[in-house]
Amino acid sequence: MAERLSLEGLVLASGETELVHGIDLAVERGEVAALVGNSGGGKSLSLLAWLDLLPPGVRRLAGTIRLDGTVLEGPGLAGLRGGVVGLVPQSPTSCLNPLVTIGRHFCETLACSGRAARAEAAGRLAEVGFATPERLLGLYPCQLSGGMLQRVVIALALCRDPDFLFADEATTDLDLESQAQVLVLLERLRDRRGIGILLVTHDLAVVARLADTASVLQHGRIVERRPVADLFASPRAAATRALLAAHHALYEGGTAA
Amino acid sequence: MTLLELRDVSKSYRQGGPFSRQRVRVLDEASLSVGAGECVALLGPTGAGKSTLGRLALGLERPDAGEVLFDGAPLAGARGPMAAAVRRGIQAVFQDPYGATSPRFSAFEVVAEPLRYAGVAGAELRERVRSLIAAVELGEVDPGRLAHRFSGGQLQRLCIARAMALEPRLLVLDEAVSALDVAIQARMMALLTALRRRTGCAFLFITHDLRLLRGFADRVTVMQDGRPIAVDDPFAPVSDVPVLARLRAAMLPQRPVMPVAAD
Ligand SMILES: Nc1ncnc2c1ncn2[C@@H]1O[C@H](COP(=O)(O)OP(=O)(O)OP(=O)(O)O)[C@@H](O)[C@H]1O
Ligand SMILES: [Mg+2]
Repeated sequence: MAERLSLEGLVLASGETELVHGIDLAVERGEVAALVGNSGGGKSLSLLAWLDLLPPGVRRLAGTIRLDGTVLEGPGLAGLRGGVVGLVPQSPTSCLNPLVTIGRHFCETLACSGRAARAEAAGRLAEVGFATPERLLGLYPCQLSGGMLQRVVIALALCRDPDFLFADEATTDLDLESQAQVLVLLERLRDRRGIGILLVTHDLAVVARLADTASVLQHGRIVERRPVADLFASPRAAATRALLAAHHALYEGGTAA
Repeated sequence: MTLLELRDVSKSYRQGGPFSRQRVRVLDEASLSVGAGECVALLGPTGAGKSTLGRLALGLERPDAGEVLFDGAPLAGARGPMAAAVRRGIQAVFQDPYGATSPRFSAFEVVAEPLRYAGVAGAELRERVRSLIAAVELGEVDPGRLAHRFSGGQLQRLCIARAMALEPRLLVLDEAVSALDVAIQARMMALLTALRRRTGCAFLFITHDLRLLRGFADRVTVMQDGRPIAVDDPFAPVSDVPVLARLRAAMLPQRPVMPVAAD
């Protein structure tokens, strides 16, 4: 099992505009690292660049990806997603084919079919909190609510038992109960299986609940990286303080803007 | 004055694939009204039917039973589609901004679309789109870039700008700000509240996040067993609405819980 996956000196650009200005990120086995920051700050693109999945229009100008000290390039990088890193992208609908049933999605990811695949898929769906997972297998994505889809995507990301999980706003569309369930699941994956989790979230309560460390990304730069307890107790960067002020206002009332 | 009224609406969907006969009842004689200029929140867990109710209010789907009235008249005539004026008066912002916008449109086109339908063109169109994009704090970006090449939160804000473009009378906000970072989220909610104060637009605010209701909603309802139920104070320490009690119990802590030193 891999111990550490890192990204060093990442620079991203679109046309003449530099979007991400040389950031470092890492996830370690058995740890939850949160990535927070302002909308458009570069969180999703950094995650995608790490897995060599950049969308059209964005180029990686610099950046080294290392798995336990080995620099990954070309095919090594291409092989990262799946068995080594499970990805839960920001928009769950974008990674599901509307014409294919949930069961088929599992068959394709697991590269097997029949009864064994169905049993495996049902087990994985039960893990993310579905009480009657068998019923889901015959359904199409449009027949599920946003929160149900989100959990299906998490189950898919986990089904090849990756060492690391990258989750981009994985609990955003979930109601508080399902969110709590997913967080318990992630916690268990970290504590029992030692999975390293990179959690992109806008919700600082999720960070407070689950993350060990947090990096704050603002306009393509990491402005602060601290253990979560320290970050909440004594935020240093202005961006961190602004986020925390808005977060506390959600609980205490008053205005944050 | 009541603007939107859902009267005893029921809706069920087929489950288990297109050929299955098994149906699930999502809404069960649900009733809800939204007054002119009022912000009514609809809270509830995932899959409780909140979005279904929102789609009925938008006329995107029809109820199996019951009726949906806008300004006291049925939303969709029994024979035809919605009248254009009614259609224009109701706008929406959904959970998934990528699904709600065409991948072929630029940011400019996303916001301009409803204005074009309303006959706005030329310099006036450009100016109105520019000021709407600035209002959602995207004044710095290139409006010619394809909408799907924006970040999730940026695209969501373009959808908010689009929904505000024609100063609707009813805005259905279905998890519209849930995916925004907390700082911009607070500013977008302030922007929406200002729109409501200025134009008298009513909101149906659909969310699972209890924390967002404070200071935003005039009235709160919770979806339980396929029906919205009125709650007086969603923040009261105890609730006799089981769904609300469960949502409250699942609320996350405000700060990290310090690990207790093992002895
Ligand atoms: N395909 C693309 N082409 C050009 N620019 C892009 C593309 N995708 C994103 N960008 C730009 O790159 C910047 C970073 O985007 P990114 O999606 O990483 O933000 P984010 O931090 O994930 O924001 P959010 O919290 O809103 O999801 C933004 O300014 C965005 O407009
Ligand atoms: Mg993002």
